[in-house]
Amino acid sequence: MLSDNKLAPLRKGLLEFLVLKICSARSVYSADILRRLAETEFATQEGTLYPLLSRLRREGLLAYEWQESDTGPPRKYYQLTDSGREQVSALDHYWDRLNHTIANLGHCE
Amino acid sequence: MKPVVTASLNQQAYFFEQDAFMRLEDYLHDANRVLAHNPDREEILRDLEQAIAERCPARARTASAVITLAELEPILTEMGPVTDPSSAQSQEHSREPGKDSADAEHTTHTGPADTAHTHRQHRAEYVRPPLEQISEGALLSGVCMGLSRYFGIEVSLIRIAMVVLTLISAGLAIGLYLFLMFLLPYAPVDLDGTPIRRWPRKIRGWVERARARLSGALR
Repeated sequence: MLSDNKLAPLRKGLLEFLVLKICSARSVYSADILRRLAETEFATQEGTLYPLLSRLRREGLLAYEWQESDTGPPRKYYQLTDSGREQVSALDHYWDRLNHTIANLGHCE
Repeated sequence: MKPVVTASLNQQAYFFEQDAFMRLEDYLHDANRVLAHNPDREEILRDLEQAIAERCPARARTASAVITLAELEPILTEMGPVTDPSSAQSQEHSREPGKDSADAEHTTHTGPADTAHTHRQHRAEYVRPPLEQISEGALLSGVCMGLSRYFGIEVSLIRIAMVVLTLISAGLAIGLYLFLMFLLPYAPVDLDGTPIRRWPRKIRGWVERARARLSGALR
């Protein structure tokens, strides 16, 4: 059985990639992102997500626009910028290569 | 008996029992400390405030239904401890969720005075809500509900005071009520969940028609 503290850093590193992927389909509200992640083993909380979103925006990978909401103040909807899109496809390729590498190493035995 | 504190969360007023308010202040103070060197600190704190506000029940926007510590605690647990991605490694070990509340308590009381000061200036400021009539949950027109929110006193106590005042003033307090009823604006109906009873709805209709007629006559 794999212990969780070996996997936790792995998940932490991948979280940014997943957030970018979630934002790639359409513009999303932070609660949408949390909901999508909650269904996976990457379940995340606001305390972690908001600083990450701000950093991705500062790095120019995400942009947001304000949208009115029926229930309260306007909300930020995040979407990928052009360089964010490039980053996601680069990461996708890298992930494929990584999968390939891992699978092949297993077969060598 | 517990004192009630009004806090502005991203510019919306909410009522907290004092211990809940102090816990919230600790949480935001802690976030402020963790993000001290983050260039987006202000923005992240605003986002956190809004997320907390969205989880607080809307009924807590009047003083007759305040947020207790028992209600706030699960909200903050769901929010999770605030982490700074730019200094992720150094924060990693000191920020386990279980230890968090104990840590926060210590740093609040022993932390440097200047941080606490800026925190108090920017976050969770005391605001006095507007003096308005509130139709939701009202018995007559909503004057007592409005006074309750304004002064942060249970609406039942205001009503009892009103009755006692009426008795000792030989009915003069009824005049005061009518005066406030025609003078005070109605709060926008946006506190979901609480129904408006038949009489408050009728009275509000009368008052609004009377005001319209009066302003028509003055024009």
